Formats: sequence, structure tokens, C-alpha cells
Amino acid sequence: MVQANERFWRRQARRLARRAGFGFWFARWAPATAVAVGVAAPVLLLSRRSGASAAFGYGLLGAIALLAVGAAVLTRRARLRERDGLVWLEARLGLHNRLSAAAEGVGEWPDPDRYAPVFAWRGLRGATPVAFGAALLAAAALVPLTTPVAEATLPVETPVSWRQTDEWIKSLKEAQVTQPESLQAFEERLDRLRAEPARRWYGENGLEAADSLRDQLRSEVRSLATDLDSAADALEGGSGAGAPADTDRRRLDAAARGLSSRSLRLRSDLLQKLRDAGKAPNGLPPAESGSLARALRENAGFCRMSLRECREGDTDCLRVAARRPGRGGVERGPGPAPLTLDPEASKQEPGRLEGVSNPDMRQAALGDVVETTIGPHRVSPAPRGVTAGGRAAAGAGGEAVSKGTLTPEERRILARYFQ
Amino acid sequence: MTAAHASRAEVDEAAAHLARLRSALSDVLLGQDALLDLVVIGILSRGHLLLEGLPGLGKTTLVKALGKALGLVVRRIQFTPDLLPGDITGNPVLQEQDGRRTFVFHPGPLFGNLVLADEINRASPKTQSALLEAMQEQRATVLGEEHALPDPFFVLATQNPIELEGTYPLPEAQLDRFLFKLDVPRNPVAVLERIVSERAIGRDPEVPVVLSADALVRLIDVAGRVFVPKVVAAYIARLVDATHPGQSAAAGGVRYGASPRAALALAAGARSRALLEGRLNASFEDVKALAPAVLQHRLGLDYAARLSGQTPAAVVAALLDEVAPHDRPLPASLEGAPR
Repeated sequence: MVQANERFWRRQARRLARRAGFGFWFARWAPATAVAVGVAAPVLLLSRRSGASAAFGYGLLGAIALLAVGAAVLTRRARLRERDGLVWLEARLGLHNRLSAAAEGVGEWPDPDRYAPVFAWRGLRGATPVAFGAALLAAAALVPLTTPVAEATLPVETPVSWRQTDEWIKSLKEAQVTQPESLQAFEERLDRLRAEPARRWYGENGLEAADSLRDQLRSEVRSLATDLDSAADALEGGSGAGAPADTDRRRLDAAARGLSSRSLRLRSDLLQKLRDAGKAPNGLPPAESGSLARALRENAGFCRMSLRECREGDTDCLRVAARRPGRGGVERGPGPAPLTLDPEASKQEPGRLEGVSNPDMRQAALGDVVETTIGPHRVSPAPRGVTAGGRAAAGAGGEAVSKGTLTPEERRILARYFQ
Repeated sequence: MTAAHASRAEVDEAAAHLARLRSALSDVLLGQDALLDLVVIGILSRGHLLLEGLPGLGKTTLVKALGKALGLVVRRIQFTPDLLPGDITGNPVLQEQDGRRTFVFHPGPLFGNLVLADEINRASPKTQSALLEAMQEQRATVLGEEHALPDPFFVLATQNPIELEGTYPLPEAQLDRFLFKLDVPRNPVAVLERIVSERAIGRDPEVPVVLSADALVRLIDVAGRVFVPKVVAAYIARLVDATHPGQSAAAGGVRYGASPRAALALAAGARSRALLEGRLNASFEDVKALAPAVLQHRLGLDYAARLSGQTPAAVVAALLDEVAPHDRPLPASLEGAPR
């Protein structure tokens, strides 16, 4: 019982001490915080308009926390201890310092029945300004603003020459025409260009470097294809006579030297076979020679196919090129647009209108479509006049007027271009 | 320091004795309960008291009644300007015994348990200093020979605040020896009516003996063992310190403040008051109640303060307002705390 009394009074004293400590702390903290919050409210509004409200919020929280710590430091001497709490309680309750004496071991702790709450908050000093400031801050934080929409950062389109270079490299990799190391050198150069800041991509230097890389790769691929064709010709030329003629052997040697000394070197196994064929005094057996020539031509085709430079009549190249995936349209990637003419049978249906894709621009123009119908021919008796892609008028003095039909997408792009 | 604090049983027994003493005294000195309490507290504190009041207010009656109630030897000395130290301490007298002449010391009126020094300020400083030694050392020195005074020994001196012409104001050192300076107030009409009804000139009222001298000494011992909590001791220290110039606003007109003896007197008085009220420990209330009696005669005011009508009692009252018992205040936001 005695211990219970002691616990009760000590608990009450500590509680009072805590409340007093909070009161002192709040009295210090509140005015400064009220001022800070009051100043912060308009600043918050401005920062919201500029889109930096999150950073501002963290800053404000930090400032308030700093003020709280400062107030705690300044009021640490005024903080009450348990002993002080006991003194205040016994003074208010008329206990004639019985609690202090009991705490020092003299006399008994009074009965808790004598306790009545004698301290209550009178109203925290400074609470009103803080509440007002907080309300201002809340209003500043919540009031709807017409925030200017930040301009969307559109992805920067990479230069065309990059895309072409990248596309050729990928094609060559897939075809496995060249040695991987020789392609890697071009890839690294392309990566270096990509690593440049986007604002430099379209600078004079950037474009020049990109075009140079593309042109160099194209030149290398073309040379590779030419050498491969030349080697195939040499092999085919010597295949009928049993032993290769001197001319064919020289062409073969020259092609082999070229294929091994360029920046873009031929695949190792083919190159080795080519060298072996050149060194064989009597040439390769016809079957082996023919097989090697076909392999060389096929690889030459791959090279041209990568550059989309199929020869006329090179159906293999055309077929492969047609199969390559793409999106079609002006921004098409490699390959035909969907629903294009294909050397193979398509899923043509009557009444379906399809765009025409043809690498040979003399045969097909942009916007050309083809439709198949079932029924009798409809022939307009009237002359057609101007046709799409054709010549509209002869003009005078060398002037010519052409008229083309564009797809809606192409029309939009052209309009954007001229704007 | 005392060996052990007073126990509950000791305190209860002492409080009962003291209640009887107060009752006996209040039957003699009508309407002066507060003064009686302070006198009893002073006695319990082994203190000497300085009573100041107009003639005829019952000062001598009080001392006589106190002596009778406590079974003490009471002596009365009327101080006059021609009073010599030997008149109060006693003198060696030449006596012839068996044909030989020797000096035999004849104790003076100082040799009593309760000495009433009436109108002490009328004696010369030389005589006052003889009393000073007796009050401080509880002994008298005559012709180089020391004579112990009886135990207990109390001096209750009186002073008349009027007719100061031809008097010798007590020096500060001697004032400091008095535990309390008590003002004997004028009686209100109702009390005067009782006095007229119940008293007659020339007839001392009957006073029962409620305590013996030995019992009083035991009570004094118990009072000395009443516990003074640290917070109360701290309050006394701060209060006494605040009496000095520059230590508080209230002490602005003070020329010199109270001595450590004043702090001891406050503590002793607080102990005795707690015992009188049957408590085991002294409290802030005890200190506040006794501060005027303990401090007012120990403060010296400067010329400007005296000229402006300031009194030591007013200074003490201001000090009590200024110096809070709690060394750590509560925030103003807590109800119940002083603003």
C-alpha cells in the first residue's frame, strides 16, 4: 500500500513535469514556428506554381524540426524534475511538503485520496498563431492551381544515318557474312555517337560523323559484295576447264586479298575455303567449286539485301528483303509495309485495297494501291486525265507539273514539314 | 546535525504538550494567539526574543505566565541608562569566613531560565554587551571568571517604539542574536472588553504548570530533530540570499542583508512550528509564516529607503512575494500556476 502510494505520487509528479516541460517547449517553439509557417505559406504557393513543392515541403519540415530542437535546447534548464513535480503538487494540495519529506525517507506518503487534479491546460500560449499559420499553409498547399503543364519531352528521333548503319550491322550479323570483330568496330563507333548528348546529334559534326560512318559501312559492304561476286565469277569461270585459267586465278587471288584485308572481313571459314581454292594447282572439284561459288553469291546477296540494293532479277534478294519485318509508311523500317505485293501468294481478297511497295521506284510510286475485284471490267469511257504520279501538264519552257496522290499519313507529314 | 529525525510518536506527544501550553498562555494573554504561537516557537527553538510594543500590552504578563507554565525561574531586569553590567551578571562580594576574607560571587538577575530584559534599549552599550555574551555563550564573565547560566536560558527583551530620546539603539550584532523580533499588537475592542471583564489591576492571573524545565528541554530536542526537506532548506537559502542588495528587486533599499544566522533561525523556527502543528517536517508555509519575525530586525535599510518610508517589514513582505518557494516555475499555460 505504501509503495502504491509512492508510485502514485511519483507518477503524478513525473506527469506534471512532462506537461510543464512541454508547456515551456511549446511556448518557445510556437512563436517562431508561427512566423516560419506564415512566411512559408506564400512561398509554398509560389513553389507550387513552379513545380518545386515537394522540395519546399521537405525544407519546411526540416526548418520546423530545427526550430523544435532549438526550443528544446533553450528550455532544457527550465524543465522540471520529479522532485519539482512533487513540490508543486504538495504546494497546491496543501500537503506541507509531505511529499518531499517522504521522497527523502521521512514520514509516509499521503493517501492518494487526497489528490485532486490541480493543474490543467489554460490554453497553450502561441497555439492560436501556430494554428492560424498551419491553416494558411494548408490553404497554400491545397488550393487548386492552374499549374502550367510542363512541355512533354518527346523522344528525340535518332539521325537517319544511325538507323541505317544500325540496320545494316544487324542484317550483316544475322546473315553471318563477316567476321564479328570487324562488325564490332563499326558498332563501337556507332555507340560512341549515341553516347553524345542528344543536342549534338544533329549538329554539323554529329551528322557528318554519322554520315561518314554510314557511308564507310555502305562502301565496305558494297566492296565485300563485289569481291564476293568477283570470286564467285572466278570460280565459275574455272569450273568448266578443270584447271582455273590464269585470269580466273588472278581474280580469285585479288578477291581473296580484298576480302581478307578490308575493314569488313569475310567470314573466316569462307575465306579459308577461298584461299584453299586459289592455292589448289588444279582447282577445286567442280561440285565443290560450284558449292563455294553459290555460297559466295548468296553472301553477296545478303550484303546487297542488307543495303536494300537488290539487283534486278535477283529474286533471292528480293524475296529475303520482302520478308524482313517492317512497319511500312514513310517511317517504315526495313521491309515492306503490311499488305504489300509479295512475290509469294498473298491473302488477297476481293474488294480489299492494298498499298504497293516496290524498291524499283520507276514501277511504283508512293500512294499506289492495288485492288482486286470479282466482276466485269469497269472501263471509264472518259479519258483519265491526270494520274497519280504522272505528269499533269507539259508546262512551258521546260516546266513540268506533277501530281501525286498521298496517303493521309503522308499528307500530314508533308504538311508538318512545310509548316 | 541531529542523529535521527523525530518520530511520529515523539511529534504527537510534543504537539499535545504544546497544545496545553498554548491553551494556558492564551488564557492569560487574551487575543494574542499569533504572538503566543511565535513565542512558543521561539522557546522551542532555543531562541531569544525581542518584543516590541507600547507599554501595557501584556509583555511582562506574557513572560511571567510563560515562566510559570514551563516551571522556569523567571528574572526581570529593568534596563536603565545607569545600569551596570555587574547589576545584571552579579558581583563578587567580599565575605569573611573563618577569619579569612574571600570574594564570593553573587549571581545577578541574569541567572534565571527566563530573563525579561525590560526596555533593553535604555541600557548603555556596555551593559547591553554583557547581555550579548549571555545570550550567545550562555555564560557570564565577571572579573575574568566565567559563570555558566542555567539551562534552558532565554532572554525575552522588550523595546518601546516611542520615547526613543536618551536610548541606546541595539547594535546590529546584538539584534542578530535575537531569534525573533515580535511586534506586540494593540488589542481589538472585543479583546479589550474581555480584558476589562476578566482581569483586574494588581492581580496576576492564575497559570497552571503544564511542563517542567526537563520536559521543555526534551521538547526542544524533539523540535531540533524535525526534518527539513531539501526543497525547504533551498527556499530558506534563496530567501536569505535575496535580502542582500542586488540579489532581488525587493532588496533595492537594503543596506545590508540577513546573515547565515538568520537562515539557521528560519530553519529552527520552521522546525518548531511544524512540531507545534504536529508535523514531521518543516514546510514552505512555516518559512513564510516566520520570515517576517526572523528577518525584519536583521535588515538595515539605506537612508533613501528610510526617508521614503520603507520599513523592513515591507521589504520582507516584498521578498516573500518575489522569491518563490519553487526553484523551477511552471509554464503559464498550466492552470494553477502563478502567472
